Amino acid sequence: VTPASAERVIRDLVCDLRPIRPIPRLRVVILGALGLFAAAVAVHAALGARPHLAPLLADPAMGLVLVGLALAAAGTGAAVLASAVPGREAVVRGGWPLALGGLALAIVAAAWAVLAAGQGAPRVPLAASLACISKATSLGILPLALASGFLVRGVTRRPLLAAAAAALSAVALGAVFVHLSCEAGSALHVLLGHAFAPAVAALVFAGPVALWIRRRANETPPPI
Amino acid sequence: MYETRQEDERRWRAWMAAAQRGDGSSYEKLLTELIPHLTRFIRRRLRDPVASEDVLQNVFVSLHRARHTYRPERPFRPWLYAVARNAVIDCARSRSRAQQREISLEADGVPEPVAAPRDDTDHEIAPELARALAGLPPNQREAVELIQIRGLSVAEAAAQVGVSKGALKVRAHRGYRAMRVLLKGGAP
Repeated sequence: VTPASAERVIRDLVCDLRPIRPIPRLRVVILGALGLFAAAVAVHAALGARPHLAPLLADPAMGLVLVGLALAAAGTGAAVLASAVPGREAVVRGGWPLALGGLALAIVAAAWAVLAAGQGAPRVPLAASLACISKATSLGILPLALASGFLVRGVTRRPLLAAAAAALSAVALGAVFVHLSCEAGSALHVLLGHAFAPAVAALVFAGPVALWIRRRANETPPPI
Repeated sequence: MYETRQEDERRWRAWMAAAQRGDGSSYEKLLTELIPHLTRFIRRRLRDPVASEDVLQNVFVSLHRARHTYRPERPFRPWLYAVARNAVIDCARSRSRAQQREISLEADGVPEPVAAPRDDTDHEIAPELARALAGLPPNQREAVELIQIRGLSVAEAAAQVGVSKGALKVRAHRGYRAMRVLLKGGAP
């Protein structure tokens, strides 16, 4: 490298230097997202949602769906937030297998319960599944907004993937509470309304959130 | 060796933290000291000395744009090399795409496009853009005009101005940012 060319760039960059505020710590963002989720849960609880643990204790598959959703939320959330911060690749590498394993576990466990129930399983209307997906989304919308804001401030190289993962994580978190509080109990409903909820949210939100991240990231200079 | 690395790490962290507070002299020292380290890092990955020069400049610009993502309590090296790695990957990808386009044109027997005459007078732009452009410092205005209005490549524009490609990119980047502010009605 000719030192002169590098030095010229350095001189220009030094001229452009302004004081900036560093990005918040990952753990602060994660705790913030959990706090917002807790607030949303409190609102739902105030509106009458209560945990129903009997179906979870009666059927191991339902318990596995819960574990899978929790793993998907934690793994995807950690991976997507860490992916916006250079140097946190270890968290990203650890988060993705956890997330995909969790999601697969939730879907396979719910599908297993559907097969085990056979023809005699009680049928729940599709509207009930859509209602559960909506409830999970409403619980996850504030954490999703917070995560998206963090992705705008960070270095988000693949906005579409990051947006899908953020939506998946936030709605998986919401689906955990929905799974705990849902009274429907049918295996098919759990598969469609709970286990698939994060994947549906990822498909629905990926485009708009990615567009927003891309626009805001281009418009927003590093914060002072 | 280990102690030297530790010393480097401590010094770089302190300089980077000072740079985040706006201390230009620490920033200059940091970037200057990083030149040999980043050069080695890039050459190990690219094995092309000519490309390495361009990539080094892009790495510096990437470091500058991502400087707010460094947390002073975190180790500096992993952050530095993660940003550098991404910049190298991006450069390698864009070079590969450019080469593929060239190969594809050669294979198809497509003749070289005839360059449109580039006179300096016949470039009409919207009045508000012209006003924003006029409000830029001369070096930024020149960079934006050459790339966006006269349609020169970064390499051509850099050669015309007599600066490196990286320096020209920095000027253009600063110019775009200032123009955005001016177009929104603020001061640059």
